[in-house]
Amino acid sequence: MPVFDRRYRGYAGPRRAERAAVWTLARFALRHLFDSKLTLVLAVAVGLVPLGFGTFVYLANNLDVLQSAGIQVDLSLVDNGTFFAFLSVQTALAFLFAAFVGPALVGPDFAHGALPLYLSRPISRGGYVAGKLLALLLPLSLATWVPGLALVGLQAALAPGWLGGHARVPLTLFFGSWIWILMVSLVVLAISAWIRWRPVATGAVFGFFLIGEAFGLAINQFLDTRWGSILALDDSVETIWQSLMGGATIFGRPVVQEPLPVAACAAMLTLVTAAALAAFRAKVKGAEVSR
Amino acid sequence: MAEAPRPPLLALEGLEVRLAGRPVLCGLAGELTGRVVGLLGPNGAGKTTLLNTLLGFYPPSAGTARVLGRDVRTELPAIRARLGYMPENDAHVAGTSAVRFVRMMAELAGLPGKEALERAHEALFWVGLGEARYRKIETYSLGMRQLVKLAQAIAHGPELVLLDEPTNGLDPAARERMLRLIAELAGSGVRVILSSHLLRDVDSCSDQVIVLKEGRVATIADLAAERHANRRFLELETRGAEVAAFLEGLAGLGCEVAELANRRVKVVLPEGVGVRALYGLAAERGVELRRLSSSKSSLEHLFLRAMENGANGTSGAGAASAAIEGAQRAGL
Repeated sequence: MPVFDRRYRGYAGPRRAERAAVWTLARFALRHLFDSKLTLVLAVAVGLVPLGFGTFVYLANNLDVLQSAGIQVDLSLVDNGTFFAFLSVQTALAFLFAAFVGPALVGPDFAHGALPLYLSRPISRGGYVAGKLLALLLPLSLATWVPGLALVGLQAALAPGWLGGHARVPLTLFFGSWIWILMVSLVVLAISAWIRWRPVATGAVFGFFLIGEAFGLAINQFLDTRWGSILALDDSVETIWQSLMGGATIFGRPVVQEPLPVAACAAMLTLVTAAALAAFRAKVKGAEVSR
Repeated sequence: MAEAPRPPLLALEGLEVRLAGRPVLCGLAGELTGRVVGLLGPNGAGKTTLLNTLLGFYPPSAGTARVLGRDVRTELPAIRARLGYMPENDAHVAGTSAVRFVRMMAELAGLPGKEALERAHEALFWVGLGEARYRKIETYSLGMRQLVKLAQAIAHGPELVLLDEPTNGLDPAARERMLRLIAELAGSGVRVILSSHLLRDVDSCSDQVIVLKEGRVATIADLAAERHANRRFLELETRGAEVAAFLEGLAGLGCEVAELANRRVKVVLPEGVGVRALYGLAAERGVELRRLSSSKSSLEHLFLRAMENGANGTSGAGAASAAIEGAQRAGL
């Protein structure tokens, strides 16, 4: 049906495999995200921090550059704590990015009944979930473990032999980032699927994490225990990072002062991730059943 | 070499669907082979549930359905790859231009990016939104949104298109346009299932209908045969003393005649006998014909009969005679 002809004609050309639909979905979702100025601003902000850390790593290994410029500073050595700080900052920024931008990934589909159109094509409910998740995990990966590993590479290149003594650092950056961004992404997508108005969904994401933390603190206070901290998901994930890294100190102090057992923290994060996945998938339906 | 037989559009094999523990479709059975099949029924009859089941949104609780020869229980991806779907309700992605939206839907159906973009432009021109294709869909009127839904349903070149109430909310001109597009689509070889509660819409496009009532098949009918029979179906109002002789004369011409109340007569004309012969006979027998009208459309008759009876059944060209019998029984 050429545009000048204005008659309908069928299509007998090539078709792609069904599994390509997941990537297609992610690609269009990413394009939709980056139409927004807010996304661009957040992406730039998230990208600036690794540049700062990169500069620090370079200068820490090339103090003569500063001295030749007449600057006398004592930069501490690049150690586990440096990368722990990097991971903490980048995952916090990743959280902000996901909370502000994530609801735009699924909200427009749910708000205007587009799901039946997606699901009437050769893409399953799982495929839809995977496509949207991929669209959020890609920028979050570029904000967290990808620049983290690049920094490790830079440090290893500038200080031969350093990696041998800090082999856990890249593993922590990779797995630690994945634990956090996977959970945050699923929580954001699930909340956005249930709350279709974007600003409210963003507020609910903050509420989910902050209320859990506040509730945990209250439990600690009133029951004189430390187990309430398990509801503070950022504390739980930091406990796991610290364990993965084999201990990390910032300014000589351990990052998590009184950590809960790692297994308990891992169980809590797994539970939240699984519940968010189930809640998101439950809303992905071609048609609702009226009761 | 002989061409392989085309599979039926839809074969229902004891299809039952339960939602929230409540039976919504009960043992649907029948085979539909038409090019455009009208899916009719009053509100709540199960039309949209049937479409949702064919799309795999609701699983059958018993029996099954075959779409283009493929089982909805086991071959859903293959069915979906051949389908286009236009839902009843508003359906678009907010913040997206029509061309990007239709392109995305075509790519999700399996078209490569370049072809999907070409087809998106073509489909939007075809439905009449060519000049507005770069506008965001939320700025469109209701009629334009209906057209975008049609464009996304056909851009990937499906074999079968499911249209759920496509003329909902359209003004008369937009409705006519939509029906013309559906007819053109069918004329180009695409098979269509058209769900509607508007008899005129279904009547103008369909060559076969399935009527649902309370989740059951009330009737499946070949509309082409019905129309052929109905063209010969007349209602007369007579005045004069020689009506009996006039009726005898009609029978002599080979007409089927049913005398109704208030000097009204229903007549089925045989092949080769025209209306002019009726006037001639009336003049000859001194009978005045006060009114002569074609009966209601064949679909309307069929629908009303199906609603009255509500039993499973398949109807054909004998519907007009059956309608006369029904009318006689009812004393109309």
